[in-house]
Amino acid sequence: MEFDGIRKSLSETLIISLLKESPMHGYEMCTEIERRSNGFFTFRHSTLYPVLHKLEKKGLIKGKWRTGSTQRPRKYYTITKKGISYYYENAQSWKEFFGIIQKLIPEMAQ
Amino acid sequence: MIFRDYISRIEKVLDVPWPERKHLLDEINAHLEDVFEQNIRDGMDRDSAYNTAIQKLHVDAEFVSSMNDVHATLVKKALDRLPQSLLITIEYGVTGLVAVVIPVMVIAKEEAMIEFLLSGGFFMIPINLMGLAIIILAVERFYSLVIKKDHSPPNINRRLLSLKFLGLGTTLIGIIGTLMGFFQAFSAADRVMEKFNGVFPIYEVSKIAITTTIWGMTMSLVALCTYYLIKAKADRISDMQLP
Repeated sequence: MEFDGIRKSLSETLIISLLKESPMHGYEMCTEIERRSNGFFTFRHSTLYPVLHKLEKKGLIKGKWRTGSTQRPRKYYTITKKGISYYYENAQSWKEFFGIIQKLIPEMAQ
Repeated sequence: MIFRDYISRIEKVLDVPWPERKHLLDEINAHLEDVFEQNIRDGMDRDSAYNTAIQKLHVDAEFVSSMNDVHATLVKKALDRLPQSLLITIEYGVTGLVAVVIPVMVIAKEEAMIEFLLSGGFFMIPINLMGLAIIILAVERFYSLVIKKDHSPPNINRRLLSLKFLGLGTTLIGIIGTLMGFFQAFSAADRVMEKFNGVFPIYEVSKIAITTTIWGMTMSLVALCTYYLIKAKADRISDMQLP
């Protein structure tokens, strides 16, 4: 797997993992990723949207405009059945990937 | 809408088809508003909140290119896979076919149309040739801007000067042709009157008017051609100087 491929696959898995818990809109996802990673993942928010739209085109997530707590329309994304299977497949791949990395860099396992 | 100007700047560089384009821009705007309001809650003044929201979103060439890729139509994706040289050949081939063959076929079917195109005499030759060039340019622009959806500013401005030149040129030649026609008709009427020792009054009256207008229009045509040649050259030089 090339580095660029890893980066893209990681973004997709992170987004799907968040949406597996509850529907969210773009800004919510950005703040949630930053909060959960204790600020480790800080990124340009614009990088989120091409990934979201790609996942939506693939049918892994579905976007719908509705008014949330702010009473203003926001596009909320929800995970689809196809997205859930994709999540489990991807999560397994990441598990294997980190297993290999730990073998290559033993200090990581400690 | 606080971010209207910023959103319209993004819209100018996006090559995403409608209605996805509108939905995407609404989504980006909603995102910016959320960050802006959060910044205000965090105690920032409006200007800082506005600028920080834009900085955090950070729309750049990578975003535009990724979005264009995600929303590219099947036709565009297929065309992008073809080699550039083949694409140019197809582009000009299709343009030529649509712009030349189809009108010629339509016209050839109508005898009255052929008669009309040839009936104007000498002045119809440049008008027909320039008209053909106008159709070719119009079809090429339609293909490039509507079908291929290349909305980059250099492409939008391409061939505008030629279209302007051809549009003004055909108008001037058409008016010169009209006046020449009047002039010929009046002088023919005058020759007939001469045989009966009379004078055709309109010919005498309109002689100065028609002559000066024809000459003025001809000079205007010379000026238009010179302007076009200089402007085309100046544009090429300034394009080369851009970073």
